[in-house]
Amino acid sequence: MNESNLEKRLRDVAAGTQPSAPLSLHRFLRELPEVQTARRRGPLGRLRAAYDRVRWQIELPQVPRRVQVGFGIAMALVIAFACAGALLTARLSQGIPGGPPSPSHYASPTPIRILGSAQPAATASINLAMIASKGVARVDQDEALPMAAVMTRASKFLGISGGAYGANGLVRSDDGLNWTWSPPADVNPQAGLLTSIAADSVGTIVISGGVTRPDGTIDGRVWVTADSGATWREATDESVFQGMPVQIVVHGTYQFLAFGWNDTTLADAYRPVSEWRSIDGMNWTAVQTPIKGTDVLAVSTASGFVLSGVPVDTSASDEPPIWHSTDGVAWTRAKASDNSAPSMGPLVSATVTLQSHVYAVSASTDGASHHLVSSFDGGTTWQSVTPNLTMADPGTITHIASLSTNDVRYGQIEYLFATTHGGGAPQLMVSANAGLSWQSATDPSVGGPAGTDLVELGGSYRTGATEFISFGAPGSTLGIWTVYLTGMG
Amino acid sequence: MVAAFALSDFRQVTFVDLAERVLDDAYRLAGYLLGDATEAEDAVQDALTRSWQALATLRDQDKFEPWFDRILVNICRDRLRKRRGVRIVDLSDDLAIFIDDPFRAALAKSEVDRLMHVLNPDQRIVVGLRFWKDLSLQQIADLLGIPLGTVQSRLHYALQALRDEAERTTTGPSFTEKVRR
Repeated sequence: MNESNLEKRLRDVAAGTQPSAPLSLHRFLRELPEVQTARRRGPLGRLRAAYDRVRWQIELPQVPRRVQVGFGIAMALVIAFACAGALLTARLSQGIPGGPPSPSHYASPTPIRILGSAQPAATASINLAMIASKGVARVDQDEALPMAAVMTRASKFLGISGGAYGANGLVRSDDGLNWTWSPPADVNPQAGLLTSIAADSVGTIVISGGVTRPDGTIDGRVWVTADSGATWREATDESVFQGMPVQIVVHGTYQFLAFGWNDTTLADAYRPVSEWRSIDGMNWTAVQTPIKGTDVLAVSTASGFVLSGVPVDTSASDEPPIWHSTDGVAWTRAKASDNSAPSMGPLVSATVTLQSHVYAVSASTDGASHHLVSSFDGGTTWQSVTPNLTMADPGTITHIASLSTNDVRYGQIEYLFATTHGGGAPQLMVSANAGLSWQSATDPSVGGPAGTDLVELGGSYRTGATEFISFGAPGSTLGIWTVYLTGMG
Repeated sequence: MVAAFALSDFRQVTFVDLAERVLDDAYRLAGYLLGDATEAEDAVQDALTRSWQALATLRDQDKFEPWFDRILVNICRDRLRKRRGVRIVDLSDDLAIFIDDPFRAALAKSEVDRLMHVLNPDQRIVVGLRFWKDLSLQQIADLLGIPLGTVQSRLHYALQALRDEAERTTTGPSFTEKVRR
């Protein structure tokens, strides 16, 4: 047997259709972190886990072993000298009347977290302060401008703003306070519209949208970056989108989901909404959805996805028009744990908190009013939230967002933000008790957006330490507000 | 506390995301190296557990795949070494049980299974990485942490041994038949 013949036989082994990892292996992988974490008990286990968490986050430069050892010895000497000095000082102060004061005299004040040079404008009883950021483009005409943003691996922000009629484009920021805007062509020279942005945890960022045809309609596309937005690639095969604008993209449970629909003809309202899924953002496959029409709401939770829209199957009218799924393929109709289902129409706005609680604004079945609903099990069961009289016009809620922040005394607090449109100017409201009672976040004491500056709440996004909400107003500047925890209540 | 939870969640999700992407390739590599689907699954589980425990030592997430492959290859090498002292008798034909094992089927189809026993674990790993994982010699050297020359010599002697065995067994009984005797 000659060499090439042997090599061919060896290569033939792995030629053709290749076996995939069995489901049991995927299940083992997903359960592995929890199983391993649970094994780390006791002080040493906790110490090791804490070290791992910190070590995983810090990118240490490649340092030669000799330098590491030298640095370790130097640090040990410094610590030894410091301890010796402290001991000596303590002995002297005990022995000499009127000696140096005790170390508590030198206690430093409580550290203050400062982002950039701007200081919180004011504080409020709810322990939040808000400051506006700068530089985001103007928004023209009556276009809601939900800004969505993700954090890149370089700890910078990348987002999209505006809609089909104004200020649509890419926004970038290094610090969350100062933003720059560029048109869709910054992503792709042919890009006509950017609609949504999502990121996975390993640095893949996906933007949905489309290119503009000669007749002005949008032909769906998806663009992907793996280098924090420096370069963009188009998804491998755009034909899977069938010429339909890709309107939403979300990421959760290790995959991207995208949704698309046309809204140019009356018949579009009766066609099923298209859904596609992808692991890497580049290769997409089509999936069936249980909804139809020209609008969809999709969010990801810790356990999967929540989807809402007008159902194709109208027979189950006693259930809310909400579905949940762990994989984005098999959708299960949600239930209402109270008697609110018959009055629940499709969700118009939703937010998922850090604890994976879902709060949403549901339109009534006749579309005449809105109301607040919540789910604490990943969208499986829902119930109404009835705000007390502190929210003047709960039926006029249009948008909801959330931020979670930490209070040393009370632990994690979920703040809900909502915009209402009762009476005159739109109001931004904030709640710290799951939507039961509210106070105005446009109160001057909070320093938030006021009066006609505010129209719609865009969304919320968070980094490890600082959290933001975005809002906007037609004809004025799109605002991004940083929310601070300002102290104990 | 929030930050700690967030970091923990981030690490967990990141690990699962990274591992999910390489899982199929890892399973195939282990399958061809070990020639058995069940053993491959065990090896990948061991590799996942070890990599999770050692995740803090991974400095660059972009190098997750070669890092993980190195762990997996070491586990496969250990299993191959242990196996050398064990005489394996394939009873599937005798019991008339068809075991749907894609790796055994692929190795048998190419008639490579009856040759591979002449290779030691290190040679088998180099052959596997070269022909089944399709890595370059330099990539193999980097992954195994050995000099390029060592990879070249292991591959050379492995191919030589396979060729000799193929010629020797052309007219003689197959390895499986010999073992059964």
